[in-house]
Amino acid sequence: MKDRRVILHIGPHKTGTTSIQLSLHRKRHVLLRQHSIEYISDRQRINANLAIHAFRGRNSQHVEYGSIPAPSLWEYVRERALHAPHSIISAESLSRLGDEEVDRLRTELRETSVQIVVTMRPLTRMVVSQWQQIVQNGPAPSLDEFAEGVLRGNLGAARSEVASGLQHDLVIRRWARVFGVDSLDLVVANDEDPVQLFRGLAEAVNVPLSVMTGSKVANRSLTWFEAELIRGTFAQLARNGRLPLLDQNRRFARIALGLKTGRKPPASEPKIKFPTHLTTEVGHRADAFISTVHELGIRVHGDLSSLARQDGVGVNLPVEHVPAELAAHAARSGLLSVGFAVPITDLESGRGWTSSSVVSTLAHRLFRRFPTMMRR
Amino acid sequence: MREKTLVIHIGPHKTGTTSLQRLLYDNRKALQQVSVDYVGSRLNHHLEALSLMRREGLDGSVPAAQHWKRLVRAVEESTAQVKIISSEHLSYAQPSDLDRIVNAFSAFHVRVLVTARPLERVVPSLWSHFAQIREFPELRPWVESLFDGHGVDNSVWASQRYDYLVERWSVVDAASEPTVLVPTLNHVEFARNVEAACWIPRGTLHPGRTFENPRLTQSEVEFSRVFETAIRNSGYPNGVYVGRRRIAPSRVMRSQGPSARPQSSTPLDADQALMLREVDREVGSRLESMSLRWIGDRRELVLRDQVHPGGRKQAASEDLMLPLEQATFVTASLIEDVTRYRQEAKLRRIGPLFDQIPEVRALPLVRVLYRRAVLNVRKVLMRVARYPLPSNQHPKNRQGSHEG
Repeated sequence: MKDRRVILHIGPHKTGTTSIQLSLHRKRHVLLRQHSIEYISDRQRINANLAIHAFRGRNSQHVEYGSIPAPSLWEYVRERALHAPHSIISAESLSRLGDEEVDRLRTELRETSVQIVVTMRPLTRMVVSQWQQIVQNGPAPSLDEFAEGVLRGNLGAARSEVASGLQHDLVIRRWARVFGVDSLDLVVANDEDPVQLFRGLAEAVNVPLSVMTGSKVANRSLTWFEAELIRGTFAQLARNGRLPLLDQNRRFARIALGLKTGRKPPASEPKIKFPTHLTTEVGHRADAFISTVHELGIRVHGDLSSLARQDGVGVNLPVEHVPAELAAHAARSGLLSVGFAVPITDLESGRGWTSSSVVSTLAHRLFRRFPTMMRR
Repeated sequence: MREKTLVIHIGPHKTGTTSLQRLLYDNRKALQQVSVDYVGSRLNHHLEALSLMRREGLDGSVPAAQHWKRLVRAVEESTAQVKIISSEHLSYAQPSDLDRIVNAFSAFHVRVLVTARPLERVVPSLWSHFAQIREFPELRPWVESLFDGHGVDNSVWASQRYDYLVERWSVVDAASEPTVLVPTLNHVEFARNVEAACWIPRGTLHPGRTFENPRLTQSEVEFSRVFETAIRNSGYPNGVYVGRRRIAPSRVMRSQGPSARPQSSTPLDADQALMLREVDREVGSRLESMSLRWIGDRRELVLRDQVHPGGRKQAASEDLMLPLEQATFVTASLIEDVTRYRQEAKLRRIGPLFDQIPEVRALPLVRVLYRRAVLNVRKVLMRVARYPLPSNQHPKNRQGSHEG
């Protein structure tokens, strides 16, 4: 019997992972002091996604723009996991691991007993959320195109990882094969009862619910107008060949973020709906997942049948016009995200660049103007 | 009469000033041949006017005093019989500024030129203009606020009401008879009127390339207004700049947008249109009693078309919708402009720091250091106040005990 236990929360994406990670990160001291569980993440970050990318030797999900993280990131996480009596690692990128990678992970963590936690939401919601994520990160296909590609497995090569990430029955089979069915816990989220996700996780990890809850996460979804406007802007930039210019710390991903935090959409603005014509296929996919769970006998926390529910289904009318104020907010957000990293007021109040950076900037400028000044 | 004449065109805003300036600018060479000098080499004399009045420009900085001094020197050195300067910013001049103008050009026969359009037209255009360049309220509340302070003390009325403007500027006009030019839409007639107003020989100005400032649609103005407000709320009180270049959506929208631009400016609500028409009548009757030189049809200063009794109560929501294609074009263009300007300015060559804070000029950066220093000193003082030194270690007490 191995005395060290590692809990791997493998996501997948868009199943409330950010809420869980924020909660674990904020309560990491309570977890350690009261339950001897260490929450291991990439140092300053709230999850271990970069470490998992380093483990895979691959860049992030945005293959066009990311770079491969240093191997030391994974070594740091592994060493802590091997030495802590109990630990939790949460990274949705774990759900993207292939068969060989899961085998290799088992080998690297062989001195520990590993428990896998998988979180799930109704598939219709996950597809829409995943599409939003892609829209925020750069040029994206239309929602119909994306949803069809995901469900029929005919997305382009660059998106093949996204498609595989949505084949959840394959994911749980893969992890069950390597770590055993008894090591798997499935937590089913309920959008009408946000606490259910934390309740399920607390049961799986065996800690009181109070340890998991209490952290409010405000990460609102994009509206249909917002998503189409951002998608159109990236398409325009791509057409003009400007996207490589924006390849600095993926600043452009902040356009949507700035829009979500800087604008309050009116209640009447249409929400993004899962395309009606694909409900049969998504139903089949959900049924396949549910029967795989039954077949394998995986422990379930929450209502498994809710995964087949088809909420938020409808027709997204083509967008020809958007409110002028939305366009203005998107332009502001785009301009400040890409062109203007830090507002001057932030600098004045001590945020942003260090004082030594400001001094050396001034010195550089003085140096540059020196010849002109001398000529005068 | 023409000998040593200096014509000062003072606007005000939205009265065809850009058309007049563009006409003079484009015909500079032709003007020189008839001994008329549109002073300097730029389109207008805004920098010089702001420099005289110590007023802030769009970027929040006051142009150096040198600009005004250079203009005075250029006027003095010009050998042309007639010199012309033009800036609508001069309509904001205070009595002390007017004294400086009188003193600076005491050797010249100064004539003041005012261009005038009905305020019922000017006010919505003015709102649209301000909404594109700064944080600004919506049209209706702004017009309401104008009528809350409907006097000469209100800076908008002081600069836009022609009766107040002419009264103030009469002291500058050598003949105490300022010229009021009422522009027309006919380009040829407009050129002939400008010639008459500025003592230019008839037939000198060719209106072929007369500039027309494309109007923005209501939704475009709304875009600009919300953008400028949001930018200021994001910590950029003077708008966003790369070096001296201002990043403004209105410029992009003028370059690309609906093929059919609106013919009239943003429509007013009927009740406010009627109130402004009343002001136009009052201004008109006061101007009648003044000694003025009129060019153009003065009756045009009060509109005669009927105001729809029901009026336009509020901008319909569809009026404030922008075509998706245009919205994405503007957003992408603004992002591209910033990246291109930064590249043109070769900011990347200098080093990583210039990539990080290229948009901030040197002076604000010095201010950043000063504010940070103040914050740090304050922190230290607060810490000392919270944890005072033991009484025996306090410098005051130590000094006392030593003396004792």
